[in-house]
Amino acid sequence: MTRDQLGRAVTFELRKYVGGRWLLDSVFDDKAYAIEEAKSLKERFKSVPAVWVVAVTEEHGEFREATVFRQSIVDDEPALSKTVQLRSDTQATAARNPANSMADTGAPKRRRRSAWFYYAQIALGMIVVLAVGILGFAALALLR
Amino acid sequence: MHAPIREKRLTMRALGHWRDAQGERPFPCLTDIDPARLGDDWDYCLLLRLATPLERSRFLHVGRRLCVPTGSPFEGRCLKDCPQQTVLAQATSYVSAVINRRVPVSLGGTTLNAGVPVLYRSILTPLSDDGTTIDAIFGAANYRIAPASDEGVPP
Repeated sequence: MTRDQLGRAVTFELRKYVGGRWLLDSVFDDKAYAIEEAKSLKERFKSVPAVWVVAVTEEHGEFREATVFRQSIVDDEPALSKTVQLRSDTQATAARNPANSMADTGAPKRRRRSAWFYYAQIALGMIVVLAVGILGFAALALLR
Repeated sequence: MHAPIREKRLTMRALGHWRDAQGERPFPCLTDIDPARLGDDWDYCLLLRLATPLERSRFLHVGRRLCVPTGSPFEGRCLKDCPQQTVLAQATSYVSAVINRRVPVSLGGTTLNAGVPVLYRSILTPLSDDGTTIDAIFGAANYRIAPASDEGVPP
């Protein structure tokens, strides 16, 4: 059993994200083994989009958890990682200077414009479906 | 075409075999464990049919590398008959943890094996015939003699 610097028992729990929730996959007493198995698990199984290794320390019947490794498919996709990074950069900038939050990068503006366009498309689609429905009912009523 | 890279550590290979046998099910069953696929690793593996009480669980297989004295057959013997201060005893000391947590558990450390200090690494994985009740355990363990200066890093 691995012990930390204070002599407390430590285990490393490998958890996997499956079906929208975190499940315990395996338990190790060795951090390096747990992390390597986490990487291997994610590589081998496409159905596992994220893995998480937690150090669980027991002291006086209480359990404390600390993340030692975490990896998800987002980390593997450069474009997604970039988006996440960009978003956190923008949020950091906004936090520093709320009055000028959108001035630093063009990306948020583009995203806002495309979102507006997206919602306009949905609204237009709904109007068209509604109009076709009303016309259909009217045609049926006339035929009777 | 490259051959797949073979995992260096026995316990991780055993876990890989368990995962392959598991497929999409919660647990593989006893008959899914294939000695032929395990090859030389089979000598370091164990199979345990669980019983109540736990100490009456019986070994279905004990690899000859895990037998003390070396090579003597241990199949059919109960968990309680496991000779103390052996790698086999250490490797099966946490069967209840596997049953309770229902996942593979790997532990290592130092112990005596036939009076010789060794560093060992072991893994136990749950098996189930009906996919719910854990009725058997598949495990593996290996060890090396601990040098006097060794800091306690298991194999």
